[in-house]
Amino acid sequence: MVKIVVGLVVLVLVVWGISSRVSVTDPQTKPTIKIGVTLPLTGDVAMLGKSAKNALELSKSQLPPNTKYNYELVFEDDQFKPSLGATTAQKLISIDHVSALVSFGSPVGNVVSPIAQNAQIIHINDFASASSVANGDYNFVHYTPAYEDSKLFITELNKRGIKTLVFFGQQDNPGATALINAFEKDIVNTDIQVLSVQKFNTGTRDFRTQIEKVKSLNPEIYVLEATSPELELLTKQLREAGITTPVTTMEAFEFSDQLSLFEGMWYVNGADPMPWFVDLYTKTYNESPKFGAANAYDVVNLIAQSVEKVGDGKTIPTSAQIKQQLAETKGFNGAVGNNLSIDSDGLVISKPVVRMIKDGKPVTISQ
Amino acid sequence: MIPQLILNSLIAASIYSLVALGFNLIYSTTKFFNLSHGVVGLIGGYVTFYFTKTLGLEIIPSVIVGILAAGLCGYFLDKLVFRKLRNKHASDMVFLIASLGLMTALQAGLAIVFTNQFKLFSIETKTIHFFGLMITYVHIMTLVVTVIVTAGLISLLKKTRFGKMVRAIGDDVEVSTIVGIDTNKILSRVFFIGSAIAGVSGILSGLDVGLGPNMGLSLLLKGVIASIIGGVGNVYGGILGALLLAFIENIGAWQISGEWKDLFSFGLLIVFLLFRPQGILRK
Repeated sequence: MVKIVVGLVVLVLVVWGISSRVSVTDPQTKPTIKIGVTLPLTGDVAMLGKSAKNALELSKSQLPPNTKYNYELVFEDDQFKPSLGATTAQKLISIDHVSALVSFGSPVGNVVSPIAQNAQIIHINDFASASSVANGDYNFVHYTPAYEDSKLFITELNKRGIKTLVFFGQQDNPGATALINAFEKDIVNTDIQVLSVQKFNTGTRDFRTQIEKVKSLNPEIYVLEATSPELELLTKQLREAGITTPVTTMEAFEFSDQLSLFEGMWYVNGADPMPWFVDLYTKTYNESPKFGAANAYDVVNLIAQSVEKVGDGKTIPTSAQIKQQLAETKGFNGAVGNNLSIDSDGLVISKPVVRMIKDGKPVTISQ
Repeated sequence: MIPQLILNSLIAASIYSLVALGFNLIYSTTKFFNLSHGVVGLIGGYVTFYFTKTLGLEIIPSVIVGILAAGLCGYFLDKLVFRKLRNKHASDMVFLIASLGLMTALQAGLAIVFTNQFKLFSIETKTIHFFGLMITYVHIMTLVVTVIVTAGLISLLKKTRFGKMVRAIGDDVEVSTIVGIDTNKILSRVFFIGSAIAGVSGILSGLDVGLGPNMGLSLLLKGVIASIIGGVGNVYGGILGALLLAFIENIGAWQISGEWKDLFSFGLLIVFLLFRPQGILRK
């Protein structure tokens, strides 16, 4: 009996050794570049995370067949929570040994950045308004930065003759904070006045006292910088308080799947996706791409393009080589626009748009 | 401004006191911190949501089903877990860990069944304006239901044989058993009633600010803080604690900033733990 067991074990080991040797030496096998992706696949903004996941997979499927490398996406769910994002990033680096990291949104991006920098792994965030996510030479952001949103927002306020506003901002969301800070910096020499900035933490459900506090200020517009569900609750409670003043935002409305709450309201949003991307995505998944999906689509291409340029197809290029190549990206034609470049801060600069919710759907009203 | 602030505080206090009422009722007899209490309440909210939004049932029968579901959930948690631990004379720490495990498991179950996505009963709520004050129908219902539930529970504990048995178990469970009280049966009922009250808070909270599977913990925390500062295990203390907590939170948000709300509530808890750990009414 013992002899049979030992014999079987030896046989298994021999077969495994031969098969693994064959796979190592097979000249036809291309090395695989693993891209680790941490996304909110469950939780309050799961609809955005799932759309980004679809876009990433679509992008991978659209890579030309003659690439020097195979590309593999490894997904992890962070629920849009920084603490989980730190864990998933560590797992992707230390267990999955990924060559690049992709994160989604400022809260998670801000914790993944130092981890990626420390591990010297390329990290691209495809949904962060906070430029701080791109701090360090291994970190990049492919999303319309807060200062671009702020410029367009001020232009739109001036165009509409709006001079007074009140902010409600989720203080522990670096994206919301970056947008409010950029705006406050940009209005210094204008006649626009911020009457009050009401800050609250993620998880706040009752805004009534804060609403009561600013109600008497009678602003011409309320600016809501929050994610779901705080965004919907805030809007609902403003209306319940009898406030019929319009609400607007930089970037926040499309976090919600209840857009009818904002019917008729204008807002500033990140760059629009290219029509060809919208068609491709819609044809593939039978639904429209959500907010940030086009940026996610570009991320795989940006990484693959850099890897293909610096790699010899036999060995996996080092992170330093990929980083160097990525930082030199110029004239990239992507799903968010043509002729995109990465600036010296690691940001892919794209221009925001003004949108409006019409019949429960976002419609771009000016570029 | 100030009358509205008082009204807002009363509304918040109503939800906290409903959680504290059920929590204190269970604590007064079992003498352990049931951490699954908040998520059991949330089950009431989710069941109501399912019956109204998915099955299209009217709100009143859905609410009744939701309350019963929360009550039954508490009843079965006692029967299947806590009673067995009692029979094994498990330590308080074991009870605490078991309730923590149940809280996590139930929360995960809610996320699997109903998804993690936040759910609103309605994006519009009817509002009444009177004497410069603003109140929604849900808030009126919250205030009225809290008064009814509190009065009902106090009457139950003071004026019925069941209430006497509950108080006797709270005083000494072993003596109660010796004098012939079926403690397991009474405790199961206590769990049913306490959990049903938590269900009421889960439903009212859901109707007001929506539902998310992670809300159970915050619901529980506010109820527990109210219980501790009011006097843990004391039904009246829970109400006083809820009022104090809600007023401190709202005055803080009004005078300083909303982001400080949690600092005020947990700061108040620390102050009580340091200087009056028995709570306002424990003596």
